[in-house]
Amino acid sequence: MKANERRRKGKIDQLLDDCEVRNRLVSRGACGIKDRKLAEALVGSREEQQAILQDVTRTRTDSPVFGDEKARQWLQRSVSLYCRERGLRYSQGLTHLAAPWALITDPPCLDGFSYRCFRSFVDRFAPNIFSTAQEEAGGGTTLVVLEAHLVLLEQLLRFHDPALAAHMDKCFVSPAAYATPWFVTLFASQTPAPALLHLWRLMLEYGDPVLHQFLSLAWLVSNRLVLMETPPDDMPATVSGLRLRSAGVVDDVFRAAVALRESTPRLFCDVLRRACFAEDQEGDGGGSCEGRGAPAGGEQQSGPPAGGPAAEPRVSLLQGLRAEGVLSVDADQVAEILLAGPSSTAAPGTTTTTAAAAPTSPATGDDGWRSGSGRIGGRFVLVDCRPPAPGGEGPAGGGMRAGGEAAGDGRVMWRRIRPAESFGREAAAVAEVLREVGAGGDALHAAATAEAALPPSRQLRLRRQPPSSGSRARRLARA
Amino acid sequence: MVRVVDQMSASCMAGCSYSSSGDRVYTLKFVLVGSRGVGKTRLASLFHRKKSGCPSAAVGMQFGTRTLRYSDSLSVRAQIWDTAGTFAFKSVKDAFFGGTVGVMLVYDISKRSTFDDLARWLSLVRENSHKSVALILVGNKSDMSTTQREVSMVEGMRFARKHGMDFVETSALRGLHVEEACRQLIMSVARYLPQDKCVWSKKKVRSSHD
Repeated sequence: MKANERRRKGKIDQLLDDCEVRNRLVSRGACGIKDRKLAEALVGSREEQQAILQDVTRTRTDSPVFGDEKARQWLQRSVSLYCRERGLRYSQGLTHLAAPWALITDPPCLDGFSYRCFRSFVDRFAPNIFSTAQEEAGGGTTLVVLEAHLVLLEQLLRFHDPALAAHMDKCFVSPAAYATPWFVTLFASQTPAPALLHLWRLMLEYGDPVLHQFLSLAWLVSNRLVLMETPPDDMPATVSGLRLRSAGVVDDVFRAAVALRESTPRLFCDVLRRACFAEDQEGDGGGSCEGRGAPAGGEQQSGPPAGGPAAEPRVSLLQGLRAEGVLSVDADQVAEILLAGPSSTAAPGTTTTTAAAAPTSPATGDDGWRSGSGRIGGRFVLVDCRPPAPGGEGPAGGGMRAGGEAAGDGRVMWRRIRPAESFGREAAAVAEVLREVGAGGDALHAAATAEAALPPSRQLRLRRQPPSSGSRARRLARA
Repeated sequence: MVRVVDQMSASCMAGCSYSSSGDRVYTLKFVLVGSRGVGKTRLASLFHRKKSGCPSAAVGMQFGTRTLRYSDSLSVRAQIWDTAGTFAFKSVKDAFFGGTVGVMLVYDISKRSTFDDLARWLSLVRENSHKSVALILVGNKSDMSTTQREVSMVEGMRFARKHGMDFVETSALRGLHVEEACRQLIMSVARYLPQDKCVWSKKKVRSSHD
């Protein structure tokens, strides 16, 4: 029995592949809850138990399995055990995440095995989504990771489909209004079971949790025809009513998601990983669990985040995200966090010297900037090409252009430049980006030249913004 | 929904969201708030007449719309936003309360704690929505027997009066007074709409409701 258990544990990742086999081979009656841990799971506070129970009765009501008392009990126990093991307070959505695991075998398998599947799946694909952080000002708590997901989704949409993003903006529908269930339940709350299991299987095969963000994006974009036709009044209902109905749709969306992922700057994935999938500092008292591995898929997380800056708490990263947008805000901070990872070739010694050297020449902004950029292994340039004041002249002005073409509005461009490249090349890259945007037919800023477009502080944030940004910008453009 | 709070607040009573689609159809946004499990989702689904078996637990937000005729020349398209019992963070609050003209505060008469939470919900509403937003207090589950009742009707009325709200007891299970509660809320906003002519015609919004 024990050996059998262990063997199964090892296979959790391929679980969904196995489940068909299991279906055929394993003929077991719907067993009671044998697992010891599960059996004694119901010890949380009474209120919490009530809340869980309330949601359990409202989960997967379409499935006959959960008409059965035993299945509901299993669900309740699994969820409360998970909360206890991870030191979480129950929040809505967990029941939706757990329920499908009872459906993977034909006589529902309601024991510790399904529970462990559920646990390792959530740990892997939505690891911190329920973890909270103290709100800085108010007393309440916030779901930091969820918020980061939502902010990043918005960014991603701006990047890949500016026209759709502009349309959504025009309708005043933000991802907070519709995408929450996508992230909190990994699509489970709204998707019929066959399609959902197919989707989860694909996710398991792909292995990298980051993909989920792109699935959400792909799902949105694949509905763009519908969404673009939708008048603003109906937008909230339409967009939240989107349903992944069949496995065929799932296949399409998944393929699109992979393609989108590949066409997204790596930088984005790094930010995403840091913000959403990195180990949590505060939560997770319970700690070790067999499923909580490093994200598979050969991503170059490059070992443990070396050094101080990489251990930046998620909250402060989020504050940056919240303030304006991922990459336009705290390029400084993001740069340090990100680039400390893969290519932190700069030795600590040089770090200190350059850092010390920078303030000595405050008059010449360029020097400070340059030496500053030498501090980290790579340099990158962030160009936020959004119109300066989108709210300024009403929805039609800053938004989509008349022809509906995907103009540069709302597009955030990211360029990363290899350390070997010189200052001049970097400047040329900036100019080139801006020219591209200008040529895109966007009346970005009255004059389409890089020279005019550069100075306003919003549009170009380089790693270290010297005080005299205007003069540097002009030099940049000339270079 | 076209939110024109800033432009409109000068000319109309509530700094509310208007979208005039068609000649005299105003889209107004209403939200339901209240503790977990008081029956918000069911109330909403009764009102916008969706088929509802047992609604599944709401994660995130849910929406429904229904058009009501106010007068010969004017209809109101009520858009009802329903949310899970918790607000995770600010941007959710913004999305939820932005442009709201009416709020339905719901509690469960058979659960004291949901009534006690009302003050908190009310302050949340006050913080996040316009000051002249219309409010109605709804004591749900009035089908419960008197022995199960934990909050008396008088208490509900008192609370409502204290905060200048209307008050209704409903039973979402049986469908009692749900319609009235919603109509009352909607009409209390609708009477402030300009009757004679449509001031804000749809120029930019593409027609789809004619």
